[in-house]
Amino acid sequence: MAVPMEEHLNPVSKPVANAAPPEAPLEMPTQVLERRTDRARPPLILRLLPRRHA
Amino acid sequence: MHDRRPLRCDARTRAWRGVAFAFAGLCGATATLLLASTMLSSQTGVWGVVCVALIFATTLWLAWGAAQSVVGLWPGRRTEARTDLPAPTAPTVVLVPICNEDPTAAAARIAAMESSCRMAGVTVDFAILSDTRDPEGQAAEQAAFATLLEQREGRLCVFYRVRSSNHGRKAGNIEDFVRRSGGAYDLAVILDADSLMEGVTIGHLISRMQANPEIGLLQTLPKIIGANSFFGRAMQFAASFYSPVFARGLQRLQGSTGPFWGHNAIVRMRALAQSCGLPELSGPPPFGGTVLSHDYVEAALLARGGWRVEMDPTIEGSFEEGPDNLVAYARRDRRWCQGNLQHLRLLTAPGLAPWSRFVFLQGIAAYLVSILWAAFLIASVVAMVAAPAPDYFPESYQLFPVFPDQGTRELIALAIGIGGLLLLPKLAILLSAGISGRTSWFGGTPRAALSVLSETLLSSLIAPLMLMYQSRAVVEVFAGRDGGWPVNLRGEGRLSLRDGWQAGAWISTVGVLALGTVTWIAPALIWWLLPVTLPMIAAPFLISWTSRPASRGLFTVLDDHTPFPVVQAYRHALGGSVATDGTEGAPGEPTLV
Repeated sequence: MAVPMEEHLNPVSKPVANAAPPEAPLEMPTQVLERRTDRARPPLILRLLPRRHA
Repeated sequence: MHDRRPLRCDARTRAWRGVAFAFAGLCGATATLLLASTMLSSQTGVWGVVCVALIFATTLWLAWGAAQSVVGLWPGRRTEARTDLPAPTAPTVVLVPICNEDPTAAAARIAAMESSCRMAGVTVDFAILSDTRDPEGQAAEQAAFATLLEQREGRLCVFYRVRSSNHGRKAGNIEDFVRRSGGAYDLAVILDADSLMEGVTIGHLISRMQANPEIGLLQTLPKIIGANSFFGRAMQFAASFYSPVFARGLQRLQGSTGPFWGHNAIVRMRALAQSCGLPELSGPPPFGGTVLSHDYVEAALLARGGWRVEMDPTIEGSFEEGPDNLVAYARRDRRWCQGNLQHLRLLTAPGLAPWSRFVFLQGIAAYLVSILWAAFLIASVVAMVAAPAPDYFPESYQLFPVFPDQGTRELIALAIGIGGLLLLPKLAILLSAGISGRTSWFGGTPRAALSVLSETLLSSLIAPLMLMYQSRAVVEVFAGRDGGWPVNLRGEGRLSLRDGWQAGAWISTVGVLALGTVTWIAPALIWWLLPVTLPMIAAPFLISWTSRPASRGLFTVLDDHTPFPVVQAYRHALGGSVATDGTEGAPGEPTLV
């Protein structure tokens, strides 16, 4: 009965864990949201703002 | 990888968009012309030009909101119970991400849904995905979920896990599940910690996804339940009474590109995995880091991946809870503000459908418009002060004075027009509900009318407060201040006058200063500004007063007199401790043991 759902379960959860679902990894590629130029150069509206000092 | 291409929108969606843009453009142009003629006659110079530009932008936004109701009010095809749908057999998991929530309430909700699914003959697994970091909170969750997690004959599987890191917050929490266990399921119903869904509804969503493999995500319109305060019940009434019409308008405008509101939706696991792995944005928060308003982005990414993202406001049996006071509402709004403004970074993301970019723009405009309204009020005062004194004798030899046209008629027409944009959609929805008999759900037509009137008065009173909270939020975000992801304090309820003062004293101060300044430099404008400044001055009182419990006679909703089965089961479960085997309480109802 005390089978953890996943390997990385917090230890305290083990005594109450239900039977684990099948280990069934699914690939989830990280999507591209920023163009390369965006990464080097923030949008115009941000560039117009005064810079914050660290 | 897959070879799907981004979807093109159909002719019907294009036509609805054309109607909405034409309506909004016409309203914006009319407001601009009315104010421009007044400003010209008053010779207000550059400040007049600023006012005209601002009234164009703000009216355009108001009219765009009204256009959604215009599009939504148009009668659609009558939705009948679909008999052509397949039985819900696809392997499905119901995901419940939680983070520092009340575990007893969360357990009661899951118990109610598990029981409802069994009664509906729908087989799904439930996975509670905890991001709670505090060890005491984790222990409380263990205790609250203990009975739920036990395997018993005939019970559906319920899983619980705590992540070792909160990376990516809610979206990261779900992503973690998809990466580890997503291959076991075709579909996932994504809920919030305060969501509830009937088993029949979950089954219907599964069948709809099975019937149309092109759909990547199907969003329901959740009804707000469980509100007690005047503010909460007004929001609950508005969500039940107006939202179906606005949502139908939104559905017609969005077509197959959204929306996704982050919960109370079903998603195809393969589509989610292929399209929605969110990156960390470059740079520090608030504009970099984790994508906060991830739902809009996920909808855009699904559409980019060629999946249909649909919303169906006619699906019943989907519920959520809402903030019960203005402070909680403003706190949630602060997070949404930062998330939406972060989308400035994503407007040029590669490959997105144009409408997805427009949705980002709308989300950004929803918050910037508060700043624009505030700027309009300030510019109006400055324009009036800067205008030259009227010249009653423009000719050298003139016997009688000439009174210049101050454009009062145009200004009154403009005020009525703007008021109409706010009021007419509500009145049109009331009329439509009265004709269709839908008002019977809201205590009958007279009571529904009284509720509409009260909600309108309340929203007019708190609008200046929301303007101030939103303006502050926008300024904070642009100043680089990260609001983080504050804990949801659900059901925090009533606020004392002292609480109201702590939350609203700064608004009162700004209101007093604004009224004092206008009285000093432009006394003629006092009457125009009182509807804004008086509620601001009364902010602490309004915050406290609207959090008081409200009678059930006002803002009546269906849940008050005919509770939905899963909601009833949840409330029943909350009365004890968790066991879903029906050994306690009414037969078939979940109980908390």
